[in-house]
Amino acid sequence: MFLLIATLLKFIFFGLVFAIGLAAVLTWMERRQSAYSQDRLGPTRAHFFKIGGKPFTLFGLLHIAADGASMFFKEPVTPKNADKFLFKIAPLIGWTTALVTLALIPFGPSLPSSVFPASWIPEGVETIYLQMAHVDSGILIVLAIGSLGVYGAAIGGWASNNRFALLGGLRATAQSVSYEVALGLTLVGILMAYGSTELGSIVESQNGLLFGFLPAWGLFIQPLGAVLFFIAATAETKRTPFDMPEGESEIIGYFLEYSSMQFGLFMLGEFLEIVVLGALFTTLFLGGWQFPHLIGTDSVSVFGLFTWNGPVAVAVSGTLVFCVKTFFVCSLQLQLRWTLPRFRYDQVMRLGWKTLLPLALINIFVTAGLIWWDPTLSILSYVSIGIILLFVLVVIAGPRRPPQVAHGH
Amino acid sequence: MSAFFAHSGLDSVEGWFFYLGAAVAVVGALMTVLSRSPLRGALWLIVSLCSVAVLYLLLGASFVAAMQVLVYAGAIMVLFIFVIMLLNLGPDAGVRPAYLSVAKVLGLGAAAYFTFQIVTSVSGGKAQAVDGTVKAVGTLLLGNYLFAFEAISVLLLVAVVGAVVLGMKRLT
Repeated sequence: MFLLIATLLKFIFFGLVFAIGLAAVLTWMERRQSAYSQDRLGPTRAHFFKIGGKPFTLFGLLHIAADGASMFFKEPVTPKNADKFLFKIAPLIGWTTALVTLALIPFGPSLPSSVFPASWIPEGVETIYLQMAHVDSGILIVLAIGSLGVYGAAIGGWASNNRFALLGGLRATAQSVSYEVALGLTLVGILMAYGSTELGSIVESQNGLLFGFLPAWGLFIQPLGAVLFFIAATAETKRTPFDMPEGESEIIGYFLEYSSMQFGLFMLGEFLEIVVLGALFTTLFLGGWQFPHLIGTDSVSVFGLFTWNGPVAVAVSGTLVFCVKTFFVCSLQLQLRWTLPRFRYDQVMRLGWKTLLPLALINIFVTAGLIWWDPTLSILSYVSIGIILLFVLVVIAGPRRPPQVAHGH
Repeated sequence: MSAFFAHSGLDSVEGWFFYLGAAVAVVGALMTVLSRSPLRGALWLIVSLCSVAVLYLLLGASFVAAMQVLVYAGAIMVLFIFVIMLLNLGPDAGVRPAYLSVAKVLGLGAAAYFTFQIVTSVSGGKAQAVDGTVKAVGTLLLGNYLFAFEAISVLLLVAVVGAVVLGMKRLT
């Protein structure tokens, strides 16, 4: 009974409050950011009262509630020749897969059961994981459930009985299948390095320091894998620059026929996917809840100024660190939208199959060779630092567009 | 009565989940065949495949369960759905009635034969849970069954090359 209640509480905190809450906040961030990039004012209208003649808008945050209310009170329209049942369940599929995926992600360090009163704890339970499902093949189940998410877009596009929606659904399936291959292969390197498929123990293995100062996170021993994973994950969320299934300027998208809250579910589900992939990236490449110098094994210390001892301290601050890191990765994903122009459809396919896939395969073989050469991973980390420096060099001193010369040859 | 419950496995949570998973798998498989719309049939097949994954989980084979969902429900069936959507197939699309009746007879015959074989070969007693961790399955695949594993990968490679060759012909 205790474990059941604990799981329920974990779901309420991590699934309902953190993930869905962050997804809602991301809709607001996206609006603010779009407005900023386009030199507009952004959401300024929703307010309850005025202060000194000016509406009190709370930076536009009230628009989250206003959007929700407006969607709930609009009429849901189902097209006449739509497949009624499939049309109704399609928006829920993405939500289900996203929330199930969250169950496998550890959002904090595990607690010893001695923290709780002994009478609560069932016999034989020694650690309480801050993770809803502690399963041996965790990352594989994440990939498996994640691969089902595309059915939302596919079925929605089909059931609408609209050619443009159908095109959107088709594009979604093709893109998702293409990038799932790369997504799975980019993770092989990290699985080999840490020798586990359980997400909790992958986070555990990312403790300690590299070269005495760098946190031993996945990012620093698999930089190429991290970059490829981030690109493939962005493609899976179907956002710009990979927004072929939506293609607002050409086919509107698989949710063309959806209105009111049914559309709202699709839209918020997309932001929920961003949160899930952000949490997954944090877990695999940013050390999850770990933060060296700050969170120790049984105490938390902020530069020696403030210390807090005990497993509860570690659990609370670890969870906080995880949430902050996830938020950081999510805002990085939002940045992409107004930074990169969108791809053409053939460019999306070419990038997936001809660039990401071979690079991911090379990454697997090089990583495997380096781990075989030196199982303590130190050679792998030297090579990885070299790759990171190379990335930095390319960005700083890489080819630039030559100065534009006036027309005429 | 309690003896019946113990024998049928209904005295444990796993037993209830087994009957739930098995029932959904069978209903899904039946609806796959009985659906008029090809897309609905394919969706029922996904339901059936996922329920079989639940049965694997109950046997402790979490790796096989994950692979079942990842490969069959998440990849192969996505391609099925893609093709059905691409060709916009409606009910009974492109099937000649004569073929359909032959297929019905053959399918029923095969189903009856396999059901008979399964029912007669199952001995009493509960299925034993196995060590289905990634490590255990990996050790088996790259140890005892290395040759079969590699032979299957070569077979898949041949299929990939064949698909590329067929695609090339269409292009030129």
